[in-house]
Amino acid sequence: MSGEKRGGGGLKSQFTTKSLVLIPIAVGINLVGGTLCSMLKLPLFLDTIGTLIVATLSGPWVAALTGLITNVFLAIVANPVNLPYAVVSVLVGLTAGYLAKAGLFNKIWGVVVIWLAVTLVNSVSASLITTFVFGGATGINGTSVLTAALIVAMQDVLVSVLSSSFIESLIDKGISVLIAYLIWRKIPRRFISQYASDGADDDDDDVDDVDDEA
Amino acid sequence: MGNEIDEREAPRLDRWLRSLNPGAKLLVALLLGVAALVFPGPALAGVLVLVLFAVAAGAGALGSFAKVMFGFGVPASVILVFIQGFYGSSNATFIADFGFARLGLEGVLAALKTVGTVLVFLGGFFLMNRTATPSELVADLTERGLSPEAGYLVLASLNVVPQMRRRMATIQEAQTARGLELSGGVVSRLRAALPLLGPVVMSSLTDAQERSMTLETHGFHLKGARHTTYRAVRRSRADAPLVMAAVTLVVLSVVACVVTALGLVSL
Repeated sequence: MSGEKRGGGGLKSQFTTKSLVLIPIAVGINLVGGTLCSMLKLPLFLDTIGTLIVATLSGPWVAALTGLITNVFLAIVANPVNLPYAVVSVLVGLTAGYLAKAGLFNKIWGVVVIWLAVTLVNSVSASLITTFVFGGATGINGTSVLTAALIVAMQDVLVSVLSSSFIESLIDKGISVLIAYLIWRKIPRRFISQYASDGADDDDDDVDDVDDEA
Repeated sequence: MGNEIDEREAPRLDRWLRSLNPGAKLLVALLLGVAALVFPGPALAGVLVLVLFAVAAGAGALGSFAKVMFGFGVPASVILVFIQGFYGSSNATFIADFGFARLGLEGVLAALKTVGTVLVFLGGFFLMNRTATPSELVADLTERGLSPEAGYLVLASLNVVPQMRRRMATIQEAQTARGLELSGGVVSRLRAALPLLGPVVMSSLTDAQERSMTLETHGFHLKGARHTTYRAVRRSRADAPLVMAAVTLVVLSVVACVVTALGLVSL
């Protein structure tokens, strides 16, 4: 938990009370994604929607902290297996945050870029953790079965984990990014401006862009 | 604290666990996991899992404890023993031949150690969550120097999740009443995700605005102000010896790890 503290202390300027309050909400959105999946019987996780929305609202470091807390929460309440994957969530938050800051969340091709970037970051970092921390699988979801099947076919643990993880995140992150984008388009613009951090002056221009389009 | 009445009827071990300091319990749970992680081979993890089972049984929580442990342990062991046992790179001694692949001893041991270590963490956290409320834990950690912002983040996240689940259930009913299709093909189910999640996110954002205004009027952002809590943090004479014992176990595991490494036994 010292990580949270350091994240909050080193980059105080991004962490206003407004951002601070936004983080638990985003963590909640991340976790409610699982409820949504079980409600709709979808074989997905959708556990990064909150991180993605925060990435567009408050920037990369707040999104990273959101990812970290989501995994710490899951580790303590649900399963400690989730703890090492906090690294993945932090990286996904940073990637989405910096790309959103560059204005990519306003263009359709930009959303596609974010999707691919997040998928790549997620699958590579998650595979490394699955392979080197857990030895190939964690058994908490269906991907483990896919991994096992691929290992039988390809005889190589890392390649199999990477392939199954890539397929899984390509679909899961694609839908997550799409949902986050559609929701973000619907958030009232006046609401967004209050969360813009100091470093994100150009956000105002982006907001105008979207208003023009809409 | 609705479980005050239950506490008096609970087994003595359960009452004792509850009387311990929450921070100490968190530390012991983490240290036990680290010891299992560092110790060479799955033996210590196995012993600790058995000890945790015994503690859970003594505290009258065997049923739910076993459900959590087996719910993770069984599928994870099966899949990891399969992957590591048949395809692990460290395999040298083969204990069985299945035709399509041979089962290696090293891989099986590595798989069991991984699952065992996670089970030690899982069991430790389970017992800690059972016997200490998160707010008590956060109050304790804040007293020990955790920043109030970090404490708020943890507590608010914990509170917000059940609240959002309820809100989602309400919205689901409302949207179903409007004729939203929740079953059918994958595409139509996916399409239903947005009308369900959208309103939850929007109302939560409005909620966030109110929360931040409330926090600011309460002076949460002020530096140097003392943050108080109504939670009384429990302390027990057993806290320090327990932590010491866990630290000793970690030290012994490190020693065991170094000794085996020097003895050229690779894991």
